[in-house]
Amino acid sequence: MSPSSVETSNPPRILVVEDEAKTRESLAEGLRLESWIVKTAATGAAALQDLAGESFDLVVLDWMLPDKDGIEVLQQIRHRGMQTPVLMLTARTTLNDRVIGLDSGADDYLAKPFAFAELLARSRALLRRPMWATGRMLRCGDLQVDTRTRTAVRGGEEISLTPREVDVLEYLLRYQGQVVTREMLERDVWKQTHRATSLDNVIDVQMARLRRKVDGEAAERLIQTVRGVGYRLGKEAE
Amino acid sequence: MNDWWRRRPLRFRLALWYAVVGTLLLAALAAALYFYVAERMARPLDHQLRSDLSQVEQRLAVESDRRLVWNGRPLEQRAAWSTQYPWFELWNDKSELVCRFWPFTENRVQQVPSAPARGRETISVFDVAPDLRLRVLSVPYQVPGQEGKWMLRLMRVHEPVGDALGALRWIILVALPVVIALLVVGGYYITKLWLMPLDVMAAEASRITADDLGRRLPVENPGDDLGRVATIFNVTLDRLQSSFEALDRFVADASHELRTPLTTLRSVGEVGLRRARSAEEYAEIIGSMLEEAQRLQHLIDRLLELASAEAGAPDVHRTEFRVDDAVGACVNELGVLAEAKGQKIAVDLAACRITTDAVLFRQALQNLIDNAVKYSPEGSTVRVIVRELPGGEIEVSVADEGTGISPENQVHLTERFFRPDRGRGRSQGGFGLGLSLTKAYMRVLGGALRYERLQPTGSLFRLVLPKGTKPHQITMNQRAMTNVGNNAAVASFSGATPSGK
Repeated sequence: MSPSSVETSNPPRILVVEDEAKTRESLAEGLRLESWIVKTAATGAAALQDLAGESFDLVVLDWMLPDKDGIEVLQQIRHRGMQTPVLMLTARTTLNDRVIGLDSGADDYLAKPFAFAELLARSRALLRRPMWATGRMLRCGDLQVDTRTRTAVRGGEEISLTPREVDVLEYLLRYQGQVVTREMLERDVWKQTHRATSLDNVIDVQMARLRRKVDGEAAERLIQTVRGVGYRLGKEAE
Repeated sequence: MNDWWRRRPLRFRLALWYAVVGTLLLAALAAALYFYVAERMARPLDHQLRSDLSQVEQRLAVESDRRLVWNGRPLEQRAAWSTQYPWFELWNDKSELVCRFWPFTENRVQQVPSAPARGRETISVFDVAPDLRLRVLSVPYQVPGQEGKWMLRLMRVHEPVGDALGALRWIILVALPVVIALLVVGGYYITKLWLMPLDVMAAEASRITADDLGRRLPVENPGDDLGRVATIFNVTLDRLQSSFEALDRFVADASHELRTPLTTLRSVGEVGLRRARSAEEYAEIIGSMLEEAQRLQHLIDRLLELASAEAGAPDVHRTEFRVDDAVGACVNELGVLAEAKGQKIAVDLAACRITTDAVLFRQALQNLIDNAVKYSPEGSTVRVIVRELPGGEIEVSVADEGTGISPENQVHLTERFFRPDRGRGRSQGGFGLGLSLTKAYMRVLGGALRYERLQPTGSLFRLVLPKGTKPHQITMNQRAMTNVGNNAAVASFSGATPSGK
């Protein structure tokens, strides 16, 4: 099951509201690479004008804007009765800000600095276009994982994995073809949300072991390291 | 008025309040004293008046034709009444004088007494001449055959008694204002004197600024109210000062450490652009820069976390959990790191419960185990032991077989960015913040981090945490530890020799 098969024919329309030009343009370009239609706005006023003129499937909204708070923009959007999902971006990470953001009608919340892969994953979730594969049997090439019996088979031979390794492999398979960052693994697989003490070295060691078991003797390597970003499960050509 | 009153200084208000209340109380006391003495001094005289009354009632009779009879004989109006008989007046039911018998001549008396109040018995005083005061007892008197009641008034000279009372009155009139004046002036100055430290404190406090937090208020007498206020204020300043100093250190350390990955980031990028490269090479360069950016991000996250923990203010959510389970999970998680180095983690976990912040506890422990694995040689064993101390505290100890920390380095162990071997630490991905964080977390949780160097080689780190919480004492304990500061931490890093392991 390839992730592209999940997508529907008409691409989603995204509005990116961010005052920092470099960030804005790189986010827009990254999203366009997903074949999405992206429009950008640098100020809250421009964003509200765009939102009044056309409809979007998702708004990526920066908290700190030069003319008005992202929260204000969000409240006005909701005040106008628009139900468009909103993903807030912010440099603040305290719980209180998080509560304020979610209370004012944001659907999700991403703290800066973030990995683009993470933004993509959250956006897809909000667009209800999951990038992850579903179902009991997950496959990629000759690798197959049964999520119920928690067993993995590659080329007809069963691979002996620890429970944590099964978790990681399942997660990679669900996001196959996409980059998975260490932060995503740390949060979703290791269930550790605290950022101060990172498990990066644990994750790296774990991934090295998993790769030995999965790719060890196979001709084709399925687990790729994307340097400086994270990992991706898929065929090397992708 | 209320506004005016509030604007006056405290010492003025106190002095004025005492003056007014003191005056009222003293005046009341003096009046009570005066009337009591007057009444007591007049009592023999009143007694004599009563015996005069019974004598008159026995001897005096009024015939039905209103003629007076004394000892059975008609009584004539006489100019000079014998001093051996009681002096008296009779007033009829129309308040007219019927007769007056006293030994005074017309020219001796300047003002005759007025008619008595009717119908009831009274004792009163009349001045009949400047030097002659009479005390009189008036009683209703029944005349046979008459409807209304007459009044009979007995009289005696009051003067000798009046002398003593007059002196008392003078004493009171002179002494009272003097005493009150002393009360006001003395009260004002004593209040001023006692509140003087307040002025000193205010002046000193106004000189304390963010740049000059080393100043403290003088504490003249720690036992009194002002002393307590000054002490509490000074403790607050201690906290402020340590917060500011922590901030200063943070800025200094951070600016140094942040520049390192930034320099790498720039040089990798610039060198990458110096000549045309293949797509693979560019991907490699960008990947390298991204790695450095991530490293920078981790450093910033940890520094901010440390700053917040050292200021004593991370969110603390205490829950009750099994220590052995939490430690076991943490060991499991980091077990892969030990396995990669061919190390073993040996655990000895006593079953016990604790009420503390599970996240901070786990972070603190994770730092210790991570360090132990990092600084131990391949193939060695890391020992993790959980036990309950006799004092009711929980101890989690992590022992490694590394080189240990030399005594001169032990002092710096929990300082920020400390690495026993700086080059090696960085190559292994450490920032040298783990122990600072662990120590800060322990402080927040009311526990302690202790270090021992093992013989022949190795390090033993121990987390000692209170089992439960005493909600209102946490901050105090925390504060006490902060006040003692680094000296205490250094002292607890003793070089005790552990039992042979």
